[in-house]
Amino acid sequence: MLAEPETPICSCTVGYGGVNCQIDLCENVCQNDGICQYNSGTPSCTCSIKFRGNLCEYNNPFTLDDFPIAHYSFSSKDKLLDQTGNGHDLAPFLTESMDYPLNYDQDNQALTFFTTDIVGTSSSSITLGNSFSISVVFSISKFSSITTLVLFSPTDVFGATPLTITVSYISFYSFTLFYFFLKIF
Amino acid sequence: MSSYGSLVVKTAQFVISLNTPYLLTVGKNGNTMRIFVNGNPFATVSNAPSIDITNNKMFLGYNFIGILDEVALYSSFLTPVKITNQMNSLSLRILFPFSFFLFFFF
Repeated sequence: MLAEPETPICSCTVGYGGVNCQIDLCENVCQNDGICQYNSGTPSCTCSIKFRGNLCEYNNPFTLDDFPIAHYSFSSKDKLLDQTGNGHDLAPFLTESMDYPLNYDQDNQALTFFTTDIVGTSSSSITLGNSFSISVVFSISKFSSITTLVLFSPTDVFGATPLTITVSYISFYSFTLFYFFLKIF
Repeated sequence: MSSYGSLVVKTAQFVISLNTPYLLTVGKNGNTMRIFVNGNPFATVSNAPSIDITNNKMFLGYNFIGILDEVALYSSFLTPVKITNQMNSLSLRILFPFSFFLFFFF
């Protein structure tokens, strides 16, 4: 009895499929000139600044300059600081933004991208250029002689920082005076 | 005022109340850096250098008892009015009172 001839089986490179690997899994996936990449078993689209959505199918209604690079609307739990957690470390934003430029973050309702005003990036640092803005809403619930709001402390809260903006105050009998300190090393 | 090895600016003082939300905005436009509270200018620093965020650290709130919310970083200098309008457009209702503040002061 003769053995049946073996049928060759194609092992496709990443991004291709089909019996003969003839199918480009990224072909015609992204709309509006979005760039397709095949990652972790599924194609994903990187949209131009004018579009958003998984397939870049939606118009982006926001202008480039006026929309935040990153936006944190903390949960009801995270927004309350009781001095035990020593604040929020916003480092994940930087990592995500550098890895996925020109992307629309639907979870945070924010565009994550860098413009020419961010003049340098590396795996461990980022340099903001001539123009940027940062905003935060804060509310003090208890005064203390050591209470300080550190708005922008780029390195370690205990170490030297290129820029630190501190809000501190002196409390009197019936009112509290607030002072802002801007320190640039 | 200034101190050895760094530039320190002590700004104007103002009175705050407990459990009252304030919008703090810091913006850099060219070499000038400005701080606003509820849209009111509190400090202007000339010859401000580029800012390096090393070790991927941005840190908010230290020895702070209260609420921090609605943190946003922009790649351009925006006036407090523009930032408030943007936040309102994102349906961040908490900032609605600031719209009134800004309308009143500008």
